[in-house]
Amino acid sequence: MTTKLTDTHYLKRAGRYAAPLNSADRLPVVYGDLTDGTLGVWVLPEIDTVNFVYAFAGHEVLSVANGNTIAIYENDLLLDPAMYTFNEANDYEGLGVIATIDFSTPKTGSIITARGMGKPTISGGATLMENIIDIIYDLMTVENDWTAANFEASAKARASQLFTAQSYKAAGAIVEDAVLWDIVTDMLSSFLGSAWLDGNGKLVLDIDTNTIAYEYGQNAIFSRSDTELTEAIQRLANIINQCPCNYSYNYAAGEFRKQTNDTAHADAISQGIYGVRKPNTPYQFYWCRDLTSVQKVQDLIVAKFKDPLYEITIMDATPKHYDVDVGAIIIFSAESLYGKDGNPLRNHFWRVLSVQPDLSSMTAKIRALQTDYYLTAGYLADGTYLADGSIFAGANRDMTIF
Amino acid sequence: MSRTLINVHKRLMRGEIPTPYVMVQTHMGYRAYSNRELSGVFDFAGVLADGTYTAEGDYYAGSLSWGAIEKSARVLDFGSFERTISPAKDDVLTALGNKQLQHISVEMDNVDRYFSKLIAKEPFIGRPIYVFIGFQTEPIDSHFPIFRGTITELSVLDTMTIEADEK
Repeated sequence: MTTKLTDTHYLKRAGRYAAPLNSADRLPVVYGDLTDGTLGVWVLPEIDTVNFVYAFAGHEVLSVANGNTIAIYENDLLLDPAMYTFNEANDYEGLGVIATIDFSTPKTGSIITARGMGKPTISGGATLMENIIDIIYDLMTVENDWTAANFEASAKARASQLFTAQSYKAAGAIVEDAVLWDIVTDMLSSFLGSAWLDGNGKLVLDIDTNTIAYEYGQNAIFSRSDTELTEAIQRLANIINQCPCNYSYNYAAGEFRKQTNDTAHADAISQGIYGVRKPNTPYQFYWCRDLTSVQKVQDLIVAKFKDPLYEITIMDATPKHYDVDVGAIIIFSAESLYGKDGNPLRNHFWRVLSVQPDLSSMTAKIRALQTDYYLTAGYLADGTYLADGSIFAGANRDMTIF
Repeated sequence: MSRTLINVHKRLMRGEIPTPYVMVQTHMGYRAYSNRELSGVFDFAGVLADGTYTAEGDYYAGSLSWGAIEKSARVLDFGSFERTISPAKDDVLTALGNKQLQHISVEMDNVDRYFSKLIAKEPFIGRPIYVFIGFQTEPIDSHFPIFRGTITELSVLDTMTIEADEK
């Protein structure tokens, strides 16, 4: 039976081997580049007390020849590589390929920790798996029993491309048993991503880059005769003009080791108007250890939330838009609301935050967040309109009411 | 990401109201329930292998319909659910790290103890449940799935309440 997102992901146990130190110790799952810092990032379980073998990871990792740099610590003291043998793909005791550290002498009573890199994109490959969408796919299909059919393929491909285009780098480890949904949520939230199950039960993955893929990417135009704007809220909690971020989580210590709160990534204009507005807690990047990636996400958060955004609720009195799902971009004219340019938000693009269908009355309640985009209208350069600044060539808001 | 067939789209835009229904997939097969009587693709659409039809591809053996082993108007209330990437109680940023899976409650008429008898022999608990909307005269592949989950709890009195979670 296929694993469910609400199931707990149980890591492999040291007890599967003949002579472990503690049979309940877990073999970590490691993704990306965890070479940062000056101390071990995760704890290695001892799986063989006779031959002094420790599990670096419960799967194959990138080889040293392909660029992996590992550092092993005994009670936080860096060990000479001559003291151990690293094997990135070891079918230990015939129970499947794992990565191992084989010491020549016993390390009784010591805590062994490591820095290093995780899984390659393919077995024996030279490329480290650093795309969070690939990591989620690997977690669900290799470490668990999902197949490609469990994913919404178009959204997955798009999210993967967006992640690559942003030059993000993901890295982290799973060192404890945890609910899969929580792991996936932690992974995606490090990159402003979202996950949800669509009506078919397929997992939809999305990475928010504050852009709309293309102008006609909108899912639906809601006509005025069918809909009613029932709520339009601006919340102080949603204004963020400076975003401290914690990253580089240390699993051995159980805390973040790095933080960034550079004012170069804050918005001074917004701070002048609303004061310094930070989230209640620093934004936590459990799956990112790369400062450039963190600062890109930081910039996106500030760009998105530096000004108050409308969160609107629309009642759709018809079943015409049952195909509109979470994450979709819809066009809705909120004529009673105005943008900074002084124009009513006609034909504005909104990102759907939630859909609540009522099957008894065949209506739907849709909650959506304001974006920076709207439907535009172009004009012919035939002399009808003067270039006096009253309209924009090709970027004027389409004021037609649908 | 969903696509609607053009026929369905046209009918929706004309203001026609589709039918919501629940499919419970038991070990025996699909059981379809709605708040009205179901016909169209829910009717038996198979053809007898009596020589009347030749197997040249014009007909599918039995798959023109849902192939439901039961269809009946037993739904009292479809309940409601909210599929969201941002729970309303959280600010938008916090919500990114605090997603929620959905839950639905469907109330069925059990005053005649129909379900009480049925689930004793054909368990509903742990079985998949789907909620669709669609036009009964349109092909089943045009019917739009809006929820898919697993039945996690049954409350069986005069009204049987099915509790189901997305998984």
